[in-house]
Amino acid sequence: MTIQNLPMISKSQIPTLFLLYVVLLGASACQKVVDINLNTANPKLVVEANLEDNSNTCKVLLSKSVNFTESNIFPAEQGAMVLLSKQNGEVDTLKESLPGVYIQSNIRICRDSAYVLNIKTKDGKLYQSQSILRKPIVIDTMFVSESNLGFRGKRYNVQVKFKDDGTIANYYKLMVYVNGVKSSSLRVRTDELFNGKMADLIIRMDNNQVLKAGDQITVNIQGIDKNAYTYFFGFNQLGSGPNASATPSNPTSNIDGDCLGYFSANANAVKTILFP
Amino acid sequence: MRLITLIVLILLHFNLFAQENYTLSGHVKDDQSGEEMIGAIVSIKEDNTIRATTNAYGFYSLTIPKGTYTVIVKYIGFQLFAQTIDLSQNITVNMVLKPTLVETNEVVVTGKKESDNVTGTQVGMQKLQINEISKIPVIFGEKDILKTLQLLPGVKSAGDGNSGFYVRGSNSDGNLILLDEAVVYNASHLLGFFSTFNSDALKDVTLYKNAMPANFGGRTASVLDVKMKEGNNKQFGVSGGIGLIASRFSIEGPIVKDKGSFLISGRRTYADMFLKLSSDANINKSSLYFYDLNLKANYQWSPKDRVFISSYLGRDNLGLGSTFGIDWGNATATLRWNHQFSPRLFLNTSAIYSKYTYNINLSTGSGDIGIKSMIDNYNLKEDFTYFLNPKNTISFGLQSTYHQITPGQLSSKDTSIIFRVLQNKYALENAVYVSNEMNISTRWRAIYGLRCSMFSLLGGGDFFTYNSKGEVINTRTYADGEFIKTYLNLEPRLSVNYALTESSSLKLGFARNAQNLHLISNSTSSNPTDLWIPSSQNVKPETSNQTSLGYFKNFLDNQFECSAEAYYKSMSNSIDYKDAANTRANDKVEGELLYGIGRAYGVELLLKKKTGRLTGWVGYTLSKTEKKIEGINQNQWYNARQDKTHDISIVGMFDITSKWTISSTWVYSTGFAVTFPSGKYAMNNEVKYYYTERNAYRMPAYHRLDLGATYAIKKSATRESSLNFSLYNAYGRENAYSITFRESVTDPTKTEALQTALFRWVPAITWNFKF
Repeated sequence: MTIQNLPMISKSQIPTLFLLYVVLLGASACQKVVDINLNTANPKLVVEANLEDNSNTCKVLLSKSVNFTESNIFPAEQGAMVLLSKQNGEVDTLKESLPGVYIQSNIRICRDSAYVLNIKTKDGKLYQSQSILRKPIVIDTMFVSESNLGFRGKRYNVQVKFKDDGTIANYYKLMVYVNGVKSSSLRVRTDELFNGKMADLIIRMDNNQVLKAGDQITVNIQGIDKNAYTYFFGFNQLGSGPNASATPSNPTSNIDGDCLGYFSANANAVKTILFP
Repeated sequence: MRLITLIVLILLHFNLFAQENYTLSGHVKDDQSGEEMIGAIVSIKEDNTIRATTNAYGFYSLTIPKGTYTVIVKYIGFQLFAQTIDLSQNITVNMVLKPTLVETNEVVVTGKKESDNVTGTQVGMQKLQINEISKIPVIFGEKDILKTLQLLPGVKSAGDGNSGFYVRGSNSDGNLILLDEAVVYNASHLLGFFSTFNSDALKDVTLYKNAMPANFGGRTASVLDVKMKEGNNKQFGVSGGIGLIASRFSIEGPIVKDKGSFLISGRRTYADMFLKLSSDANINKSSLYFYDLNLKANYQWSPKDRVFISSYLGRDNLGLGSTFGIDWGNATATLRWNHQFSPRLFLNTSAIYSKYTYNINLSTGSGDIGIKSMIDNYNLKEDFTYFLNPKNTISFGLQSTYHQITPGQLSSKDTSIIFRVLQNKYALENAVYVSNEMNISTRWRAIYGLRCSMFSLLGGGDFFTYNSKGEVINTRTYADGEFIKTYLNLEPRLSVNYALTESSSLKLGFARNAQNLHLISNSTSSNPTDLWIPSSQNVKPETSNQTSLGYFKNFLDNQFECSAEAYYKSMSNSIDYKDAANTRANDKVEGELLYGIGRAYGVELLLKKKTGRLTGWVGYTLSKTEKKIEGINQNQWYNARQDKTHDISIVGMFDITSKWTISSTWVYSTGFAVTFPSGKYAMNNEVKYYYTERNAYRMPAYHRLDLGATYAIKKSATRESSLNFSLYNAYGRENAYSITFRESVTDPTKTEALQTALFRWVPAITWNFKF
């Protein structure tokens, strides 16, 4: 078992600890919705770009940010030119299949090699990113384990073991699906604590995802590159609130140009089990 | 070398007017308890330019020409002491002061002498009287020096549920908090609702906001010098208080009458006793408490030698059933020896140990996991006071401190658990200082000094150097005790007082301070698990330069005092965090930091009524604090979190009858600077917020009214019994503790702001006794 981010002093639990005090002391904590006069900001391009090695597909979602007071309707960025190039000079042009959704399959896979994403939006602005596609790992064992950590009490988690490549620094993104439903948490890890060894990771389920007998559990471990990892790590850390980061800000994008989002070339390893 | 030259020059200079002089010296003491009085003024009736102030051990010394004098000693709350002395040889006279006849309508307000704020030379200093604190209403009825200090101009609260405080725009880790000279690393209990200082055990509280005396150093913002009581060396006594959530008990008395005394004082909360009543096993096995224990003893074994031993132990404990437990606390021990080489040369030697630890224990299915963290230091100090002549008192000395830091280290019996091993950090800090308090003329007084501090990071282990991106570019292994990096800082300090009239003065202050221990706390509220790091190859000492100018005026026969003080502080090597910095259990935490400069400036106004049935003060601070850090806010100046433009405190105490005293405080301040989102976007099927400028928004303004009443059941010279009632946040203002953003409950397509407030109407009752 590897412990990277300590579960008991995680940011989400310090407020719990705090509120426990408040409640036990008989003091009254109260919450209410307030009006905050927020500034407006110019819309920014939002990029969510993934290259999957198991489906040979590159999918790029382009949208725009909106002002805080507006509804959660994020306009698609249509009519952009999206190109994916490889080191050998091959270039694929992604087609806009739905508004703001650019896709291309049959992409040739080259390992340990950089893919470059170029985007030119209608207004003529240019964005560029590159991501290295790694070799996928092989999930050795996978099972459901029980834990009793912190405030959550007894619960089931998924535990996976795989061999890490000791020659380079590896970064992983872990995704878990229960009966086909994707867990919403974004989980990333470095191999710092198990470089070149057998990794033994516990995937903590979301609070609303309680595993029960008969569940079909699928784990997808993606090998990603460092810049993509930095983006996802920041994505998880940042937020507001009393015990979130004191300095909320935007996660560091791996895309050049003034935009939000990421491009990641993913080396996928997938395994499915039945519980129990 | 420079230092020695300076001392020699000073000594040579003052020997010029040597004549047939003799020295009058001794201690000033309280007649009832035998406690030494700090800062009492000893003067000569025949010549008002001659005066001495007692030092931290109640010692004074006056070297004056042969003659017959009337010596006068003044100390607030005590009868004037006068004695005629025929000075034809060096003599020792101990002055014993009797308290002013205790009348309940006589209220003592801060200030050790009636016009001290005008005539005192030290700049930027605030003193608190312990007996005054007890009348000011506070949360849960627990009188608290840290909460009371935050009612003074220039000292700002870090918010509800946070005992941290900001002095003149600096970060809260810039406050050097000393209890009998020992550093208190974390001065809060119960996540900030209480401070670690049990007022029953305290004698003297002094806060220096600028021009701190040269014997203090190591932090950039302020010095809070807290001294414990010595204990009554004449008779035994007990005192204490029983409150709703905590009780206190103290016992003091002589070891050998008039020669030595002791004090033991304890405090414990018992909110967790109620948990035992629960039938839920998870709750009744839980623990939730803190305690403090103060011990002190002293013994005078010769007229020239006295030893003191004092110790503090405090701990918070929070446990949830048998699965989770966290405890944290400070421990300090101070051993002091006062020695008088001559009636004019006084030496105090202190050996000090101070420690802060926290432990976390977790029970998992497969085994227990523990986290241990510790910061401690061993400190040796030599402080000399040389009473050269009535015009010059020279202080000089040296200090050596060895620091050890164990960052939150995980451990487990379960061998299958792998975790990062965090390296211990070691450092050596040395300092020498010299300072002179000089009465230049009847109008001019000054204190000038210089502190030279040296901080060295020591091995062993692997030390990293980072590039501007925070990536490790070099790793070097050092042997145990090897010097890795040394920083030298010269820190001049200056206080000048110019008396305009008998009741008004102008004061100028300057201080440079360097800080080599930095608190890494990447969240808006302080946590017991925040990490201290030493200066290193990557982290340079934080420094600050502060200049202040003040006008002080007393009027209506010293009944009122008012002051206006302006300050400007520049800070360098200020630390901030990268976006998404990972500061927990990270051995490369220095790679997550960013450095820059800061500036803080403001004006502080204070109007105080010190005597009469109605006493209290009105304080107002107008200020600005900004930072400019490479890599944050497009490298532009931005507001520091603690930048609160306006800050008002009104404190009033009124004696209705000889039995009843009522009190009230009202505070108002601009909200903290915060970063709120300006836009939002969709990512990973979630709505995410989009941020533009750092700290460009404000939390809502904070204001609160507290009410208190004290009923004296019995009050005589030796026995006291009173009931204290308090109501915190009397009009139930919902002050924002946090504002978070979420999907609207009523319209999921919209986003809304959610404000959390902690306290509304907290009533408390406490019974205090002394007999």
